[in-house]
Amino acid sequence: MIFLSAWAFGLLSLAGIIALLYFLRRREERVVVSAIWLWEEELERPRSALTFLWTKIWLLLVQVAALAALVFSLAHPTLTQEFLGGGTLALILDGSASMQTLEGERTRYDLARARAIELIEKRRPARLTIIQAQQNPKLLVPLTEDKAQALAVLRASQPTLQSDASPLDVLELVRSQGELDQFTEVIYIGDHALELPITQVIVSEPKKNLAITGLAARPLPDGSFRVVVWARVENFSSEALEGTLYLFAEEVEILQERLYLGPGERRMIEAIAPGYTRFRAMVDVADDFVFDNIRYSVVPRRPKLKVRWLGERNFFLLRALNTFAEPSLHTDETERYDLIIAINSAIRPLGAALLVNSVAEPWVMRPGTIGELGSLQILTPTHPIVQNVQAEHLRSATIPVTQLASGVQTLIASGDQPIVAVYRSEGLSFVYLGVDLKNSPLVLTPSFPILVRNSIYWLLPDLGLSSERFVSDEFATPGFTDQIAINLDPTESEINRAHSHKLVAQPSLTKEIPSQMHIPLWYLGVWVAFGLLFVELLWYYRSLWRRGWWSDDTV
Amino acid sequence: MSISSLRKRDESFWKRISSLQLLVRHRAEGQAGPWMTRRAGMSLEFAEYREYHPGDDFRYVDWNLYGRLDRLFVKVFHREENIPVYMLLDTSRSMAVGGKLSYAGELAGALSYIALKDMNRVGVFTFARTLVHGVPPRGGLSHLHKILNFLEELRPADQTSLRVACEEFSKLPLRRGLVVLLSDMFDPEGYEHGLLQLLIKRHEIALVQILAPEDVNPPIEYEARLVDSEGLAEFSVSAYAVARYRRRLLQYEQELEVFCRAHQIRYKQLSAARPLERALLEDLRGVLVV
Repeated sequence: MIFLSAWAFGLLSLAGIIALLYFLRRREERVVVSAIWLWEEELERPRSALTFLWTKIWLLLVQVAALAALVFSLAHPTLTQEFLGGGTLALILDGSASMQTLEGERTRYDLARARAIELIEKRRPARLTIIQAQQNPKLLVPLTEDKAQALAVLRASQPTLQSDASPLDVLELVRSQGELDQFTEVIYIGDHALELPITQVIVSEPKKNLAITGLAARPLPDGSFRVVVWARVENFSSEALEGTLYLFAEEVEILQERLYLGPGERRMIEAIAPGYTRFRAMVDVADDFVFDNIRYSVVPRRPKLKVRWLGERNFFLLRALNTFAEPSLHTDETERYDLIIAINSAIRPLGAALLVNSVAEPWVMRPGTIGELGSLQILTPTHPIVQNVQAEHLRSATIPVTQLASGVQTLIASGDQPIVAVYRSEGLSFVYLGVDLKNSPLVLTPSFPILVRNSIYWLLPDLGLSSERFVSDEFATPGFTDQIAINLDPTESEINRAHSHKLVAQPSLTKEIPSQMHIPLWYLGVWVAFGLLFVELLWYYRSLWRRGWWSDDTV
Repeated sequence: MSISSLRKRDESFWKRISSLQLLVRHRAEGQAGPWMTRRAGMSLEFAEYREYHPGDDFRYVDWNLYGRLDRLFVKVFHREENIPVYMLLDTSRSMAVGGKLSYAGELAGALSYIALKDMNRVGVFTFARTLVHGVPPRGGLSHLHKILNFLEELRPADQTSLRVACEEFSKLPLRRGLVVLLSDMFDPEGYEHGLLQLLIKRHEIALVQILAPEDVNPPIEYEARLVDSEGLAEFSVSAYAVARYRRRLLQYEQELEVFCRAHQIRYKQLSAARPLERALLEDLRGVLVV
């Protein structure tokens, strides 16, 4: 049983006033009787101290009991599911990586698991289901009546290295076990709040954590085959932390730096290494969450690329291409090729093509010669080709007047003239770049190699150029012996989120989530209070009903 | 005490109770009155002849019979005689509780009227520790005024001693008659001795026990300091003692009733809160009045 308005118990202090008034009012009255010798037996009657006390204060006790009953009602007493037992319980256990944070000698997951077992044993549900919530939520125990089996599975469960679960994914998994209104209670146990309006138990205390939240390696676009490596280190604690960062290329240490980060401080560290492809960052620090003290990065191997080159050669374009691939250039039409690059020419495209200031009828036509450059505008900022490209870098003195067929999508335009456009259909895809590289400073800007790289990635998606590495991806690599990458989602490093996060219930879900079963008991207190007051009223006016047989009309 | 309310009652009250007569079971000696007694004397109704004895009034000798039988016979008539009624009023301090004395005074006044209108003689005596000669027995309605005046002057005083009062009463040179005893009968020394004294003198006794509502339901809410109205003692009791007191009071009343029945004493208990007219016309009918 819980009390929703426990403040009401403060009103019990009124009992002191009641007692004061009671004893002030209760004075020994003088009653003149006709025959005191009929009372004299009372003098000889033995009376225990307890009886004597009782006769003095029983009405006071009735009044105080009535007050206590009223206070009980005002405190909104409520029977909870814990008291009642039975019902259907859905237990959601946070299984994300941050649950491996140490809380003393035990991890948060150990604490959450112990709390879950305690809840099951206290609430005694008739049926229960247990869900482990992480990026890929897992149904640990399907809806069952076998509590012992459920507890056994729960005890054997372990946290994952995945990131946090999506509330909607978790909700869907709960729904897979039954309609939400069938559940008497849905309880989540984790180290941060889940944005669902359900009972949430947070098992975390503020802890120390210095984390590597990012490690990136990128070949320098200067054709030197060197790689620049960036590491991002963050302090997620409320106190300053000190540690040493190590950067390794393959097994060679390329950097060692002592770090001192204040609360919430972030630091970027950069190093340049010669032609390695696999990198590791490690921070040596004494903190409570170790899984983000190491991070891995892989620079993809440059794929071999057969390129049919049409038109004049361009040094900058070739260098940019070399940064991401090993191109072999061909001019023979009979050779099989992966990509056509056309510069200032007219072609009949087939397959994948990069058209630089070129014509490819009927998709790209040139009705005029030279046009004025207007203001540059990125029309589709989310397209992968224009990611990290600055439109201003595409500025040039003149632009060719171009007309595009319908179906060709313009990504960057100057007025009504396309500067960057793309087209993809079955058997044909091309990227059109409406800039004359000889008359434009574009090739000297950072956006150029990025634009080239993005274009090749978009035109040839099957080349395996991605350098993304996910949690638990295996490295089948020389250098790291059978190493499993455990690059965590950076949000998992924020192990103190429970203390800064504000739970916001989603209104659309509020109606769907069953509330905890509560049985209010306030009316019992009211009945008891009025019953006691009625007894006292009867006692107070007892002379009226006792005198009945001795009234004026009867003898 | 004030019985002025008795004087203020309207004519209908007196008319209604004037239809009542005192109920007397024994033939009594006395002057002419409503009750028949076989005694030589003046009356309208002839009873029998009786042989003359020396000392008989020659006026009642039947000379015609003497002429025929040559023997002296006197005529015996049924004679209507009155009976003396003695009001014996308890004026002890216990009678002050709940207006019992006032009520007893009014009752005595009303009964006196009933007796006097039927040509009976009525005397009023009061008692507490000792007997007080109030109004000597006299007849005639004019005597009622004296009785009422006396009753109006009554004040509660002293302790009850029914024994002493009855002993003193029985020593008085009074003809035997009807003793109407109006009291709460709360006498720690007991009532038996006193009542027996009256019976020895062959008085007919009608006992009206008057109790106040406070006597039956003492107003004790929590606890109270009991003070005896006659100053005998005082002590504290709780409200729980009331129930035990009521049991003892009931037992006392039952014992008194049994005693009265055994000695042919007419007994009636009245509440001081009972309207006087209803007490006379309903409660005392068949006991003290008809």
